[in-house]
Amino acid sequence: MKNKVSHMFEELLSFKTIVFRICLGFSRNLLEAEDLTQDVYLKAYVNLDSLRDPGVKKEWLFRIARNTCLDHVKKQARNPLALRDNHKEDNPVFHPPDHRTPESLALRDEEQAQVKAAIARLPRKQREVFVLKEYGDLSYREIAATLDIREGTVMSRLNRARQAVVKAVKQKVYHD
Amino acid sequence: MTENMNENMNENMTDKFDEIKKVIGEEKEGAIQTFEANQEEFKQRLFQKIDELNTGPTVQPEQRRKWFSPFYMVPAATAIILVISLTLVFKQPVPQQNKHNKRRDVDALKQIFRKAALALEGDSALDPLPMDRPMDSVPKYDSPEKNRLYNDLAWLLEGGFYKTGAPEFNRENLRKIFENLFCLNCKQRDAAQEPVLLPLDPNEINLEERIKHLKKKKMKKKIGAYFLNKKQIIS
Repeated sequence: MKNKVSHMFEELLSFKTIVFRICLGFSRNLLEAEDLTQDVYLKAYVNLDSLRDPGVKKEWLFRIARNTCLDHVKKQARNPLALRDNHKEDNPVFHPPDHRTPESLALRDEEQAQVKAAIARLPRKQREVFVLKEYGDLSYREIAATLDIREGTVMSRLNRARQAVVKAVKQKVYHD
Repeated sequence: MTENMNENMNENMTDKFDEIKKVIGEEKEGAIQTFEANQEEFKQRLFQKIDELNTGPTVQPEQRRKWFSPFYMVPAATAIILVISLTLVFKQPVPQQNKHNKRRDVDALKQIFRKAALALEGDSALDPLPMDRPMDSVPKYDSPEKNRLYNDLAWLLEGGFYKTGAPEFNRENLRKIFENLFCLNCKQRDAAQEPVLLPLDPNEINLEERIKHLKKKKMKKKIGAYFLNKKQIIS
């Protein structure tokens, strides 16, 4: 039994990069995304017995990731004064060699912050679809299976989310 | 014109979104490279947390010993013993069911007599009392009249109690009430060498006389009505 569980868990670990990307879409920075990914896998481990059909393990895992991230977002909303890690030295992000000037790099960072803020302002249903698509790179079918909705619903929510993000970035909504 | 404007808007939106996608892509690329570079550390931390889950939170020996120290155990044990002792000492005796309460019985009996008397004074159409009703097991008193009286009273009371909802009386209780009421076994009788009626309220109707009167007037029918005419009794 233990071997079966370990084998299943190893299979779930093969999706960790996707899970990380999803967590990145919901979180504010890299460290937060890593912590969330850990939480997702811990929950998956604890609730492994509830996975009845191994054929849907991917969707099951992504659903846990979605729920974990949404819970995290709710907690953040309740505690707006929580420590926010804005120090780059504590948030080491590897950037590929870039020949842009420091000014353009700073501009890139600002653009990323604006996009993050715009995504954070999306309504929950639009946000989860947007993150699963744009960060998780899931297909429409995979998103529909994860969220238990129809593909048509995925497309319409995604369309609305994209429009909202574009509008917000254009308005340069920027939360500190 | 409008169509062109819409087209332009859609194009603008698409262009803008493409820029946003590019920004997201850069963020993802950088983050994933960092994540994959730290993969081993990530797995290590994860498995460590899983191990902690499996083994449970470690309780320090000092912490465990603390709760079982005499400082905590003695007062806790004392409190438990005290509670149990107080419960046993002040435990209320369970009231015996069907315990004969003379006072309650006599009061109930008087109410029945009153109601029966009021009902018997009516002139409503009556159903006959079955004359062939069996003589129930009547205690044998020293006169047929008393026996008959007891039986009539039993008949009356059983119906009356039923209608007024008073606790059910069995024959034994009834006998005791009867004897108490008419003092058939009391010491006063022994002293006086004859039955002595307990002092009743002067306004009370003397049941013995009443029943005699009814028998004479063939008013047993009214007694039957008393039992059968529920509405009359209840009202």
